[in-house]
Amino acid sequence: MATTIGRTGRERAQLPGWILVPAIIGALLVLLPLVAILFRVDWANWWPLVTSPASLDALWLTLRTAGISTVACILLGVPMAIVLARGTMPGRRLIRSLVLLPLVLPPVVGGLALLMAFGRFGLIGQYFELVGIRIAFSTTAVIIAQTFVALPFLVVSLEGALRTAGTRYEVAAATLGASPTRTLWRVTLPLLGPGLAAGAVLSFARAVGEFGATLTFAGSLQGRTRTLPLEIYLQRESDPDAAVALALVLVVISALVMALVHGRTQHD
Amino acid sequence: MTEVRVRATVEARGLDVDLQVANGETVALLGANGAGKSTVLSVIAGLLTPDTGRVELGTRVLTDTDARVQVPTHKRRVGLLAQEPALFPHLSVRDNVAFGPTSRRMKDARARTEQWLAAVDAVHLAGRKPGQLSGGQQQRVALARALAGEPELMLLDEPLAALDVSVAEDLRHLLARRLEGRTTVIVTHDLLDVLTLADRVITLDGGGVVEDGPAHEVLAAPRSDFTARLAGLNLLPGTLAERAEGTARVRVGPWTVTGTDRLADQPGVGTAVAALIQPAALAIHHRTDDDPPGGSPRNALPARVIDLSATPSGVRVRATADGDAPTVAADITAAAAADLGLAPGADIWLTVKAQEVAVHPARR
Repeated sequence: MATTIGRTGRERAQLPGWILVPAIIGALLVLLPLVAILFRVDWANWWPLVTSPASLDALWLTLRTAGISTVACILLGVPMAIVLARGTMPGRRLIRSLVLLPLVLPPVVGGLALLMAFGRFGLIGQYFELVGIRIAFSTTAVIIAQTFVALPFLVVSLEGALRTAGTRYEVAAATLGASPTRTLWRVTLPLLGPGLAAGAVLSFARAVGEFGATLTFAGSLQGRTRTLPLEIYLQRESDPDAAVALALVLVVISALVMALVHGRTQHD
Repeated sequence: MTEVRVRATVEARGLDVDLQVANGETVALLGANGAGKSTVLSVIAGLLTPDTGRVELGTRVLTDTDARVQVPTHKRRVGLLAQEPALFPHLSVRDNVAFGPTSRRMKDARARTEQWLAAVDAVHLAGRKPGQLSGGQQQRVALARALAGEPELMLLDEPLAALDVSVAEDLRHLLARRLEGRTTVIVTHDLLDVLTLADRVITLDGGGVVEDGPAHEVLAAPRSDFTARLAGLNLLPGTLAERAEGTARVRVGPWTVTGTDRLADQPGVGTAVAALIQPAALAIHHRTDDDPPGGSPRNALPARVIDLSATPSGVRVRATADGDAPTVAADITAAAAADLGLAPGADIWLTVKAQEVAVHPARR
């Protein structure tokens, strides 16, 4: 067999040819179902299906709650990442593992845990109940559930960025007379910018797709807690065409998010 | 008055030092890798709390482990210039230089920034981002940034080690000008840094001070292995006699040595300089009268052999002359040494091409 010459003028690693086989199977496993959706979409009725009151309610609720939980992730996750990456407190590794647990925790379990904490008879929820605040099965619960699952994404990506950047700029700032607070605002956060944007976009995507924790902790009330993934699941029983139409919307949102994150990292 | 006084032990790094730097003095901190030089700088800068120790700067106590005092880095007024410039990549050159003065809330921050940009010849770079500068330019800006906040003490950690030789030479001259009269500690592996910048040399070995003395004395008669290796070159301290067309003539005791001019712009005749010669660049001839041997080398120095010693590659001959001449080492092959029949006390000519002699500025 003649050797084919690939792209010339560039150094590259030599790969065994057979590695392409599993790699292509893997890629197909990911791509085929997405293509299948395109085939199954009822294009003629796509627009009416996507703009039905129930769909619009779900879409609007999803974007709103995911947006708010992304902001919450930034406000809480940036300090968390900085403390985890730069702090020197004892037991930091253990704290880190616990805080990042939602990354690997099944969302249903997360939702149940949230219920145990903030539900009517929950650890904290019972006291909220006393003053007339009910968190579970409200839009607030949707936001808490989304933040719960999305926060670790932001923390992990930011912590990585902080570790890669190292402390040399912070050390330089300190020797120039900048207080820790000034160093944070003028040096650490601006340098974190690109990583923060990527982390925020990922968190947003994770929040948009959140299903298990939301269903368990917030239920499925149209306009209040029924987000797009919940709506799709529900419609799958009654109106599969609507479910597929909405699924396409989520695919497009996810693809946009991916493009955004990739576009950014390629530029840096 | 002692300006800086450092006493510190850091067990994890095997460090146990006690050293002082006088007001306005530049001390070169030498030593092999792992000797603890950078740890000393970290302790002074407050980046590392020693297990036990005390750091004083003027009348201020910066660290005192007994009294549990540890002034944070940003309140120490101790500047740091490391091997890496570490300019803030998101700020322009001007904003980088302004960072110190504005952090310290100096009233004349803006004027200072412009003044320091000019002092390192970086006014034309002011609007650029650090990523658009060469390594040498970045380090110049980093120097301006470190000095613009008027630190009471400057720490330099191998500031030229990452630069090309020619760029490093320019920057070394700049450092010599801008650090003049400032209390400074410089960690270095480079003989030229010591020669050009340091008043005093402190050598660390195994975490402790093994040598401490005026720079030219330590280099001329090194007592530690490290300085001996560092000073493996012949260092002939003298005064500048003449400069012309890229060469410089130096009066060294009874000798006049001609070499390549590696001086900065300013020094005039009569200033302190040093001629550097590799031991292997020197040739030896018998001396029977006052007529120098013929041939192309422009330098022929009458001398007398002190002693001979074997080296891995041949024989090292140490020689000197009456009238305050320094000791000079010449490396020759064993065969040549045998042919010449050299013995202590023998009269010889030391010859070397002007091209093999580098004349550098020196501090007295």
